[in-house]
Amino acid sequence: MPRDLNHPVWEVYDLLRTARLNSKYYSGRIARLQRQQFWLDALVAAAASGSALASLPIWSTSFGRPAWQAFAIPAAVASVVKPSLNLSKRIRALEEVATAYRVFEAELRGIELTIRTRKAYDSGTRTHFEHLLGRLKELALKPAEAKEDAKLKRRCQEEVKRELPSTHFFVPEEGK
Amino acid sequence: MTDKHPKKDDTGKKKGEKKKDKEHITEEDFPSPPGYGHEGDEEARVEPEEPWDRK
Repeated sequence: MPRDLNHPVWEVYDLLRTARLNSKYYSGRIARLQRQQFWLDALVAAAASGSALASLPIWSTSFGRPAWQAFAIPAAVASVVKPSLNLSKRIRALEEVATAYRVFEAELRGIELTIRTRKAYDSGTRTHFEHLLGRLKELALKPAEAKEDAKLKRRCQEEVKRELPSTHFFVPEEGK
Repeated sequence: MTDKHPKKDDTGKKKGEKKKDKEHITEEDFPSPPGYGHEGDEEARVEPEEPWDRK
């Protein structure tokens, strides 16, 4: 028997996949910002005048002097740019969003399991889903970045498609 | 006779309010670097590029 492609249960499954996409996307953004923060910190710390690296005798040789200068310029730029990037604050804000989406995804998986075990999308499950939709609106109001990372989003979307293909979901018969 | 209802300018502000605003420079007066907007600029949600398949 062909599956009903317009069954309201697909709203649950579409949202579950979108929640998974958001959870992956914001985790990916956090990882990227943490990497940026690590390398900026490392660059600034290494170039600091009192650092162990800066005190190596090699920098006073004819080869070392220009090499040190070439290293010191990006380090100086990094130390100026770093505070304005506000990475720690942005990472904290995105961690909050990623955690909220993980919780949201877990609740939607709970609804999916209920539909599968009851073999129906009943009124109790629908009420639960509607309640979640209200919470999703609040979640979307949390602080986010102004620019979207399109490449990361595409990669996350492909992962979600592989993890949660449409054939994975149970669709109740019409009227259930 | 004093004017109980001072006239408003084009921005809807009463006379004398503009000067007061300029005395208080806030973070909002400075543009953000590209891609690093102020918090709340965008919704914390990414949408799939194409609808999820239903087969």
